[in-house]
Amino acid sequence: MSENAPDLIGPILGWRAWCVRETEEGWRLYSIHYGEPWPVRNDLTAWCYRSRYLSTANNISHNRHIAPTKDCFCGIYGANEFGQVRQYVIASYLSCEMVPPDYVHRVVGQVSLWGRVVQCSQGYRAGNAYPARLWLPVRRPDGKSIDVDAIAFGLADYGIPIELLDAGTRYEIVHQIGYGREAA
Amino acid sequence: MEIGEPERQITVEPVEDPVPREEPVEAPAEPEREEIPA
Repeated sequence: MSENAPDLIGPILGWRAWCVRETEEGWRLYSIHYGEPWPVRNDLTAWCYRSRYLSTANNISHNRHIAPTKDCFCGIYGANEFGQVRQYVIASYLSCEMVPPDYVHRVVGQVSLWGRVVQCSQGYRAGNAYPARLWLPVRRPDGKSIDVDAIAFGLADYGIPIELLDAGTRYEIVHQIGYGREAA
Repeated sequence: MEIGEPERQITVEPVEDPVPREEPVEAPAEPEREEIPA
C-alpha cells in the first residue's frame, strides 16, 4: 500500500448542533463553541485555537500543528450518536459556549468529516467538514417567534437536505430524532 | 461536545466531494457577428 493511501474511504458522518444567524449574505450556520462561521458550498477547515492563541498570549507551551492531532483537542467535532449533542440543541449557560450574541435559532444535523481525522471512542475530530443534513426545529424553546420558512429558505444555500422538525424543546427534539440514533 | 478519548489518527478520503460546490458559470457564447460589407 502506498504511504499516501487513505486509511478510510469516506466521508465519515457525525452529529452536531449549530447556531443560526442572519448575515448580509443570508442565514448562516455557526459553531456553538467558537462562533466559527460555516462557509456556504465550501468546506470548513480546522485550525488549532490553542496553538494560535494560547502559545503566544499566555506563554503556554503548545506546539503549532496542523489540526487535528491526537494529543490536542482541536478539530471539527462530530459525535457518533445524536444523544451526545442533546445538551447543545438549546442554549446552555453551563457549557463553554461562545456563540454569536445575535444568533436566532439552533439546528441539529449530520456533518461530513474527512481529511486528517482523529477517531475517538464516541466520535471524531476532523480537519475538513461540511454539513450533510439539517433538522430545523420550527419553534424556539423559549417560545420566541421565528420565521422558520425564511431560515429554511436561507439555509438552502448550503445545498443539503433540510427537514423541518415539529419541535422546540430539548425533549421534543430528542424524542423526534431519537436519542441513540447513529449518523448514517 | 463529549466524544470520548482519542484512539487513533487516520486519513479519510471522500469517494465524492461532500461539498455541493458552485458549478462554474459558463460565459455565454458571443453571438456570431455578421460581416457588414464596407
